[in-house]
Amino acid sequence: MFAFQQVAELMDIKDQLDAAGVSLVAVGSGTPEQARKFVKKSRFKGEMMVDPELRAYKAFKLVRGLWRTLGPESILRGITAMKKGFRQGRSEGDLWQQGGLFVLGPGRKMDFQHRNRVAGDHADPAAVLKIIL
Amino acid sequence: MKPMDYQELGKRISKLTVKDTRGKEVEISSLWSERRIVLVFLRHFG
Repeated sequence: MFAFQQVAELMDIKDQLDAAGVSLVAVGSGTPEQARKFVKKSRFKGEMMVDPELRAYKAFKLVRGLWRTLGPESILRGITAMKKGFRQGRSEGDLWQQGGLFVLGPGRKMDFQHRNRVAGDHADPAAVLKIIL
Repeated sequence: MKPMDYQELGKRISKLTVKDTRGKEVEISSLWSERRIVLVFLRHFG
C-alpha cells in the first residue's frame, strides 16, 4: 500500500525529473519477478532494481524493524499488520524494511538523503525537486 | 539518524550489487557514475 503511494508521488514529478535530465531508479526488496509484476500494477515509469538480501538497504542505513514499522501508537494495528505481514513478508519482500530516497551522481555525489522513519514517511517530492531544479 | 557523506557511503557500497528485473547483477554505484539519479528504496511490493 505504501509502496504504491510512494510510486504515485514519484510519477507526479517524473516529467520534471525528465526535463532536468535526472533518471529515476527504484530498488525493491523482493525478487525480479515480483518487481516486474509491481511495475505493471503500479504503473511505475523508471528503472527497477531488486535487492532481495537487503544489502543495499543496509548500506544506505535504512531503517528496519517491527517497532519502526508500526510505531508506538497502536498495538492493535500492530497485531493486524503482523498477521498480514508474515504472509506479505514471504511473498512480496520484507515487511519490516523501511525505504528512503537519495539524489546521487554524477559520480561521487549525494545531494539529498531521506530515510523513512515509519511506513508512509516518504521524502517530500517538492524538496526533491528543489534540489534538482 | 545523522546524514552520511558520500565518502562513507562509498565505502559501504563498495562492490555491492543489485539485480535488474531479469535477475542480472549490476554494481549499484554504476547506476549513478555517469548521470544524476533519484534512487528510491521502496518498502515491500504491496
